[in-house]
Amino acid sequence: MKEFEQGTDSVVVFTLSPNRPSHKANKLFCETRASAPSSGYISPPEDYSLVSKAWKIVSKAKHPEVVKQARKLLLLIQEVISSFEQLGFRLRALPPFRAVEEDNESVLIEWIFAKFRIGFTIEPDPRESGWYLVSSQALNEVGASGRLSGANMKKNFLWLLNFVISHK
Amino acid sequence: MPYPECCLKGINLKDAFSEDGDLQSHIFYFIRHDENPHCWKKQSINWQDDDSAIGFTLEQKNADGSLQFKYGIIVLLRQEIDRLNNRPQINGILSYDREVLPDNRYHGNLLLAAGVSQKKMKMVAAILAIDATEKIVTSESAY
Repeated sequence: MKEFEQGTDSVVVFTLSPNRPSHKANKLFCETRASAPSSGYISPPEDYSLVSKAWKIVSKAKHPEVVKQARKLLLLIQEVISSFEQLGFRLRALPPFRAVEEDNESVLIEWIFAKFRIGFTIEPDPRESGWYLVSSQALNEVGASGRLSGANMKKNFLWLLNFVISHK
Repeated sequence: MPYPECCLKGINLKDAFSEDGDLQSHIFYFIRHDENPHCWKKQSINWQDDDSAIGFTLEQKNADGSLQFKYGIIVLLRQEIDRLNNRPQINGILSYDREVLPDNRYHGNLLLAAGVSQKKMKMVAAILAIDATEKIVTSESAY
């Protein structure tokens, strides 16, 4: 019998792996920071992480505010992905996040799939930073976007991850 | 002169492709600024008016003599650009023109309406990357 779980507050319901691992099997990435997330120290993601390639690029970005925003976002993404992996979702096979630094010191972090892509546009002015999801005609031309600043990005990323798992 | 079926977007950024070969969206950013902020923003293309257009584009040179589009060119279908312009997320803010130059009779522009925010511009670029790209042509594959 298949087991189902409501992943987020959206209407999408996912099938859980039959070999659902114990919650003790993997440590959450954020646990490596113990209980002091505001200590100022941010440990980089492991090399096999979906965000590690993007992390390396954004860490070398010129604008400190861009680096700060991008690292915060990637840590949140990693935390959510780790949570899903603990629930039995096999996300390691997904394409990694990619990042490019643009001429104006902005950074684009993209998650590219064949029929859709998700982007996070990190600007020196945090009020200008945003995200988008766009899909091709083959996937009904979905389009969604929003701001990073002032948004509940954990909730937004859960929604985006719902879309990824449903349509990858 | 009527517009042909395809236009050509030169690739001049070495990070235009991810390690997996995916075309990244920033290649389609509209970053050319006119003095008049009320003008549409432009990004250069060449119109594929004839069979020579691809070869001409691949051989375009920078001022220092180096190849301008050494990473190849993206072939875009005009019909797809027209269709994308009707997507709710774009809704008429995309266009194109022909702007013949003394040394380039194929030259034109993709256009983005004045006043479009940076966030929206980047979303439009992602839509172009995912849905308008017909194929990539490089010097090796063209001949």
